[in-house]
Amino acid sequence: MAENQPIHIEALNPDCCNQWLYQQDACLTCAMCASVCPVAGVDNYDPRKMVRMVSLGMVDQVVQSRWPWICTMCGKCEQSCPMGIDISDLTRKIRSLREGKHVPGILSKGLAAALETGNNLSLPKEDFIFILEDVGDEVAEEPGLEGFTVPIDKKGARILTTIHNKLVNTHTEDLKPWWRIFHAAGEDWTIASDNWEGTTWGYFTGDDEAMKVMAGRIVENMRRLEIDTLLWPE
Amino acid sequence: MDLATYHDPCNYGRKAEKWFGYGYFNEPRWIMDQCLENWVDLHPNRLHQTCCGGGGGTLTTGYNDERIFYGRRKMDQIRATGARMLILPCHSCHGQINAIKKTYEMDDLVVKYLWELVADCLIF
Amino acid sequence: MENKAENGVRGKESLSAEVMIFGDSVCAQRIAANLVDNGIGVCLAAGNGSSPASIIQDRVQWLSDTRLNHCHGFAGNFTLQIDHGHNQLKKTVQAIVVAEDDSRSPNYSQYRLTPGLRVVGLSDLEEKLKHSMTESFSGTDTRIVLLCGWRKDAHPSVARRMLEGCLQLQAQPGVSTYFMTGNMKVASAGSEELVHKAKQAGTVFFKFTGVFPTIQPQENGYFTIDYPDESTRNTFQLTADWVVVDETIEPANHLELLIQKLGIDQDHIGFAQSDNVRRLSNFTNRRGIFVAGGSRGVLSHAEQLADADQVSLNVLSFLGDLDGEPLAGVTIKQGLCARCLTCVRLCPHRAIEVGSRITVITEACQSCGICTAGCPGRAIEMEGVHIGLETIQRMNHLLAITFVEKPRIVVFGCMRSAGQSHTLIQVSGQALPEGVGFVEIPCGGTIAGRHLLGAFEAGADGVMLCICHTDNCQSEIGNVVARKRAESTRDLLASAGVETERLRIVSLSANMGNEFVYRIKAFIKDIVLLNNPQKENKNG
Repeated sequence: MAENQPIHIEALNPDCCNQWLYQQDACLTCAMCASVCPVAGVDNYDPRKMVRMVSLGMVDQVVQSRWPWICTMCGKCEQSCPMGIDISDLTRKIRSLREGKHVPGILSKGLAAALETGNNLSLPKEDFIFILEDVGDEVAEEPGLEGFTVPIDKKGARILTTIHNKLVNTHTEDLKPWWRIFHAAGEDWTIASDNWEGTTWGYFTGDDEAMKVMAGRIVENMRRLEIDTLLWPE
Repeated sequence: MDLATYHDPCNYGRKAEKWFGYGYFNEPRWIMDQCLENWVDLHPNRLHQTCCGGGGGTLTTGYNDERIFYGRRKMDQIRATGARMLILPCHSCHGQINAIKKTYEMDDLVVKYLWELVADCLIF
Repeated sequence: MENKAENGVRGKESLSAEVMIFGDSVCAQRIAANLVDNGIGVCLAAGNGSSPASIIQDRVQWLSDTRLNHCHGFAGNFTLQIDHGHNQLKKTVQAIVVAEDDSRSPNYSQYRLTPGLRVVGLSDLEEKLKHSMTESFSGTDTRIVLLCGWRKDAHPSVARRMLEGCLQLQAQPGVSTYFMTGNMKVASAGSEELVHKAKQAGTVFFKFTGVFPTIQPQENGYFTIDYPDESTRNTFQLTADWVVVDETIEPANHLELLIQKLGIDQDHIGFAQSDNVRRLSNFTNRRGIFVAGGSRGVLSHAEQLADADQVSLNVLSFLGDLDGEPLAGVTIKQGLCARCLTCVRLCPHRAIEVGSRITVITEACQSCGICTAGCPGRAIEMEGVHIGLETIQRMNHLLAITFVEKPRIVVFGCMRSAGQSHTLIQVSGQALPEGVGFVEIPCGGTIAGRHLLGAFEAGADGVMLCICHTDNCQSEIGNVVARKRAESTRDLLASAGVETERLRIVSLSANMGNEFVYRIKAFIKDIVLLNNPQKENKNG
């Protein structure tokens, strides 16, 4: 953004976002949001700036900036806002306006993989089952956990649980605590072999449709396996 | 036993309260009480807690300097308690704190999932 | 035919009316209508060339082109000398209401603008909008900038009118409005809703707190406005077709003269009512003289109408009470009076009359006693008030209680604040700390240095004087003179070798019972230290 050239107000379109339901127009520029934001100052960002630019019709500039992506949508800003502006939802909306190929990092790629293959890693079903069984064998070697097995696709179990992709990738150790608890509690549980992914990166990219698909698949798993209760720690 | 502390993830607390009208603040603290004799709250906490900096997908965007900088307040708060162990129930927070603790010279901080704490307390 | 009156007033015969209203504002006319409806005779002194509205036509004495020359007399019997054209009138009335309009002027200079074709003041804008003269504003792509309260906050009622004007402009075809404001009190009634409505209608808002835009008139009559925006930290530029400026509301020019002639207090801006909560809503320092609407402050149109009704009730109530017992039992003993006029200068209610003798006008007196304490000849007495005697009685009582080992303290307190707080702690079952004698006084201003010194003389270890907060004195200056007198008494104590800390001045209000006790306890603690300096030295 050229900071030196004046921006002509009459060329902007403040009405462009009137239909959005985040109440950005209510901003009184009090800067409460900017004062609580942990990332204010980075990249000259602060929430008030974003809110004001959107309400002045400078949406493109905000979409092109890094601001919505260095924000974690933690919600401190909107909690302090005296006018009740949904600032973190607005951030998410701004994120959604970034074209997929320009979304930073691996978010778009991971989401596309999830929509196509059921998980962010494109991990084939047989590899997934192999990892689960391998880690399950390790758990079964622990004292008191003899005979432990991972129940996969168990119809009529009480609990279905999802898996965070990092637990079948770099952090397999972290699979074990839940399994130990299940075993100790004598819980009747299971993992689905398809669409087991617990994360939904559509949440981060502002893609509501993708979120619906991912959540729908989990619901579908519950129907298929006739399970009423979901444990979804992601 | 070393002092522990607990971090409220934004999504289970403040944002759950906003979206669903209920933030999970008391439940994890009840579990902490059952598992630990010696733990203290961070300040600020519950609705007013500060984000760790790992939320919103920032662990995957590649803007790492910004993400590490973001976590400074959380690390200061943890340091202020003198706790050696941090308990939390969120994959993103877990990943973030573990990833940045070296930068803030807190390599020795043990970061555990809440369910990991429960599993560790089980006697088989 | 002209007849010369005894006191030199020429003109027609004296007219009689019960109430004189100064001003022809909407507020003034509404007061007149209210009073006439209640059977009260009203005379209204209007400005040049104005005429009565239909609601009061032929029902009031309407005098235009008037100027007040002199006012003497008192509540229930004021005599006014008025220039009326080339004539002079003498009028005797029971009550006076000042209800002149305020004066409104566009704030060109605040925005470094000069009046021009495309620069419009708020009142002008309202006139145009009222008479649907809006063609000049509409058209394709007309941009209108409204400037509100930059370097000095606009009064909330002005800001609201700016917002209302903005909304109406925004509704014109082809018009875009830009509202550029400094700090604005959106919390004032109705403002936030108006801001919200304007935003919804499409007005673009900018707020400035430190750096303000520059407005550059162009040769073609338009304006270029450049400004750095504080929240987005961008530099913006806007070309505007019209600029609307807010306005300052001030007391009318001729109000000053009325205030002077009527002898009423004014506030720091010059409105005819002092900044004293006890004067609200419509009262002045003088009984029987009321003030309303744009004469007493910046009021919105709706507030002025409400004020008219309020003052009407106050006047009716005052007229109804005229036959009752006068308040005062203040008398000047003629043998002791040296005609020094100290009392005349001190009296905040203008209740002292200078004639062949100096006398108290009981109808105007409000029994504050400021004159009794100020009179160098001690010639003024107030019925039932014997501060010196009461002090000695309290002290004797304290000295008689042998088991009291604490220091003995005399507390003087105004009956309107400390007196009320004292009652409050009594009814809540508490008592003052031991060793304390409380002397209630009609007003802080009733206290003279001799009363304070008298308490020490009678054996008090410490004296506390409780007065009302600033701008809270029923008699306007009672707390001020009390403070002055106590401070000069301190100087006397110092010259006599007595610690000045033994005399303490405290501001209190009527609802501060607990605070009252707390303040006394803190004072006792300090006096204990003064009485036993060796206690401190032990450690030192």
